[in-house]
Amino acid sequence: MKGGSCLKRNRLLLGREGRPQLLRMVIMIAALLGLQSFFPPASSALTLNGESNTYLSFRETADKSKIVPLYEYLDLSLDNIGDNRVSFHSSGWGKADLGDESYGKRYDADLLYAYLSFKNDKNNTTINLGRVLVFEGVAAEKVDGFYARTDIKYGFGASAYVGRPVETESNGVSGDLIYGGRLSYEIPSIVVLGASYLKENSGSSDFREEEGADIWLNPVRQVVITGRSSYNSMTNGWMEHTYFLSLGPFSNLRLNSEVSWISYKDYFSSATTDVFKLMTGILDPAEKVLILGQEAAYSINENLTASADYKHYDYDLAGNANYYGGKLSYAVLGKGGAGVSFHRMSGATDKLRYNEYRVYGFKKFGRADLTLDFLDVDYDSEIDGMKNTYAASLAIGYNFSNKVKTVADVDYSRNPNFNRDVRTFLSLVWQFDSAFGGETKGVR
Amino acid sequence: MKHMKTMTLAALLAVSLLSVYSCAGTNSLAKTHPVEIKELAEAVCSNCHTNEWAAFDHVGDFLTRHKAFAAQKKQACEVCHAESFCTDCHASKAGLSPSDRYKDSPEISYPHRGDYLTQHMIDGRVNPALCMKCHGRQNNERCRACHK
Repeated sequence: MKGGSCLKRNRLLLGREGRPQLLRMVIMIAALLGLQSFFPPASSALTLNGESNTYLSFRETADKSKIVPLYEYLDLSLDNIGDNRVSFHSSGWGKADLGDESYGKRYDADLLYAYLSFKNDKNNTTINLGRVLVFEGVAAEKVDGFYARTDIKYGFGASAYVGRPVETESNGVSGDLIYGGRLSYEIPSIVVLGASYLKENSGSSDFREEEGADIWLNPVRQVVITGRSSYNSMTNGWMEHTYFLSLGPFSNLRLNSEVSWISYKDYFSSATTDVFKLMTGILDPAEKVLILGQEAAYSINENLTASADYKHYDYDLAGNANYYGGKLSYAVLGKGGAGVSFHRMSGATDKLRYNEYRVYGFKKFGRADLTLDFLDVDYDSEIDGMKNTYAASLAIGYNFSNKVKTVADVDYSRNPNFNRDVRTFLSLVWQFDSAFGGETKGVR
Repeated sequence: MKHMKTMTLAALLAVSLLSVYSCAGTNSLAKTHPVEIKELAEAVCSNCHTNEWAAFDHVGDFLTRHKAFAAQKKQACEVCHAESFCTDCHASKAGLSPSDRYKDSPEISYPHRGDYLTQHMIDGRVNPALCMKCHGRQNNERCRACHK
């Protein structure tokens, strides 16, 4: 059992094939360092920046198991690696259950990203090698491979990526290769237009093929239109159209509108998580939904904002639902804030008819801070024998310095699964930096 | 649409070459924001910027709209945010949810606050596309605890 856990953890770091994956990484890093030679050198001092987040929580499950997971989230960055345009960024977490085992795994870990990066001072040229995050048009992916983008000329820009898609082992799909890119055109402060493409192969067969067009349009000051349309070439249908219109501020008033349309058959065709697979019967492939949203926010003064929002869901099969309400929020920089909100969901089914109330507040007292949060959902009809559920949390934090903080919190909730659920949580955040031959620039 | 595959492969090669011989002459974005933004209430870009950055105001429904900005100009996000800010939510495996990690930031609208075990059944019915973004291709182990 222990050996198996260790093997899985090693796979997370080295990939499914272990050493070859590491070898590829080394080759890519060497390639990036080689690319440096094309650009004029700029000397600087190597700096290390990092943040450690340690969490210990305690809860008891319905079967009286005591779950005490210890989590460590660690971010590390190295800047100015021989050149102020070259840096290394990584983040990951590990977990050990100190009490009973949760979700069938006593130990777990994930490498979120780890890549060597070259960012040129001109042309917004970026080249990343390693485990990279790619957000480009239709792509919101994690890839073991290569990503590059640059401005070209006359307002045009281009990005591209290729590599192995990072997926958890139990997906049941082994995507061998993912690649794509985005071409863009920009008139600064007026318009950005983009066309993007993504292809993923699983073994010798195609698994995903998506195209998209995106826009950011600022025709006049205080008017911004942004959004995207995505097309699924595997199912030959539009996945989604999502567009936003932002107006303001006009004398403290802002108006935001949303129009979204989603076709389940095309949107969920590449899901690997069971609950989203269309053949399981939970989601109806024939369903299509049109979402219309509107929000108005008014700043009463520098600290106080009132907002009202409305969202209409128009389903082809499931009927309609409306979600609407308002919020009043108060915030004073460096001192604290508070908020109170009410929302009503009014839908065609019993589960889609409820009222939602929330009150929160946080206040700083010198080095200490106190946070209270209460969320209540009142269903029109019983869900598993319960009409009212609520969750309350109390958090107390203390800053030992600008870089070290601890927070202790306790959650109390009542819901259909637990008559009384108490969870405690302890966290320690530590930011650190170190310069090798120069000064540090601090942690972001 | 099929012609886009060829275009993208060509772009892959082109971007690699252009990265080396790029001639746009534009100044790259700053690596870090000249003024550190510590709280959400400070992230009102239009207080200082009157150009395209004014649209990045983190107010109102920015949580819903942020995907449009990230998909077009992620490098602009990186001026203020480390990428771990993205992976707090967009992770490949379910670790701790951001609403658990940041109890002391109630002003940020993290999606999993309160009794989310009950609420996720409802949100999942209302708009499963929102869940798909983070959980659709990953996070299987925890989902499979119930959805077998």
